Amino acid sequence: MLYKPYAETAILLFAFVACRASSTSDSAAQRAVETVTANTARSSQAAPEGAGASAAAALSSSAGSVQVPPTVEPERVFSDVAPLCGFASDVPGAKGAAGARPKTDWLNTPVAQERLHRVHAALEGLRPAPIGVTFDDSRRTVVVVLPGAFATYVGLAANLSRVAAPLRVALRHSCHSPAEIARAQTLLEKRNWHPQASSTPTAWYLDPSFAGFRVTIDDSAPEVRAALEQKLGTLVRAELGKPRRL
Amino acid sequence: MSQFRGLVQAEFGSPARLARLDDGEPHFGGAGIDSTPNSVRCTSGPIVWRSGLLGSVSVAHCFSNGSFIFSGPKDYGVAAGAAPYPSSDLIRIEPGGQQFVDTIHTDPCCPNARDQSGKADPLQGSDVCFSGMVTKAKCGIRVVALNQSFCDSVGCTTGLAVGERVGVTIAVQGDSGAPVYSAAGTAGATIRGMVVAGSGPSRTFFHTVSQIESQLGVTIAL
Repeated sequence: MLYKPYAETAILLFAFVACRASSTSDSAAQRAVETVTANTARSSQAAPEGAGASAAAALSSSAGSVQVPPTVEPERVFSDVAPLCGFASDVPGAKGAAGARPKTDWLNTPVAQERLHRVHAALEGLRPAPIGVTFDDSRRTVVVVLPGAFATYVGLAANLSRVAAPLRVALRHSCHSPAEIARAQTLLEKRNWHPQASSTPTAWYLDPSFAGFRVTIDDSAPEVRAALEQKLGTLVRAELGKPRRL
Repeated sequence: MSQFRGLVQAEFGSPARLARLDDGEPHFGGAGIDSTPNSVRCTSGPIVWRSGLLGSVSVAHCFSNGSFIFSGPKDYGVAAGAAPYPSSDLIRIEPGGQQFVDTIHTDPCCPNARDQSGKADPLQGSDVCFSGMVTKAKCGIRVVALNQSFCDSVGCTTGLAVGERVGVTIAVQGDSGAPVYSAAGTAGATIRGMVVAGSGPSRTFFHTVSQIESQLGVTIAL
């Protein structure tokens, strides 16, 4: 039996090596992506106008800030080795360095929506179950958040390469474990983290981008928010607002 | 027009079927409704089949079983069969002799109404539209989460999807019950759910279409 810190180090090292291996040497998957891209380009030349623009064209129509060298096909499935677990930059709608909100319409094309359905289908039945899917608008990338080491998900990168193109997909480690998420969810459901919690309007949802809960608490009860943040720490991002039945 | 000089006063404007707030027969979904006449409080959801009759649905926090429902001055139906509240926030609108058609209001524009042509639960990342009586049709709303909760002093409503469009008001007070849909072609709508609550003007919680059907014992009319 390994002493626990050494065991964790060994697991992380293994995961890192596996990530590198899957992202750099999965040539079959890359070839599959290139084949799909090439076929798409050919079919787009023959397709009549309005008959469904090619996948690549559909996405590139909304491309703007992300510039890719024209002769290099970017990897369609890659690994986000370092997840964004801090509080800094991934708030939905957060303004980027240029002061503008990332555009979200890259995912709104019919082709992108159809590929997204395929991505969800490819994730069904995976074990350990993915935490969820999130979206990196600045990189125009679908991010699949996984609680286990990437190497656990044999063939996933190749499968996603096949079904998702031309969408880009990133695999990202979850910031929190399923057990931690379950603990936080139980606390939210019981509404007992503060004496006023059960009577304070509260809305919450699991945000896979940091594998924690975004919570809106009525702005009349800042102490309820503070107590929740104290209880859950990085598992929660709470804001004051006006959660209401409409 | 000159031959009717003196008999006609003509003017330019934007004539349209502004029937959301006084929705007559055959009734559409997405209408402004209330339990008192000449008033609107919430929105009717998609049109549904039950026991061979067309009716609608809405939210239980707006109506009680047995309430007569009006759209402005016009009869709209009768509330019935609320799912267990607050874990669900759903109620049927039975026709009570009124005629319905499987169409939802989608004004202000283009088109002003859509036929219900499909149904499917939303996926994370999918793009949906809301059509409430106050905010009216708003699209480009991203589904950011599924199976989430809204809680207030009454209790928690669970299993909700979350839609968000940063910087845009997508639903406000009175839009509860609004059909959630995605456009299908130029005149169709794939029904995805029904608005329940919000945690701000840009983030809204909604019941999915499968919850509506299973918990109210209805079938989306197509």
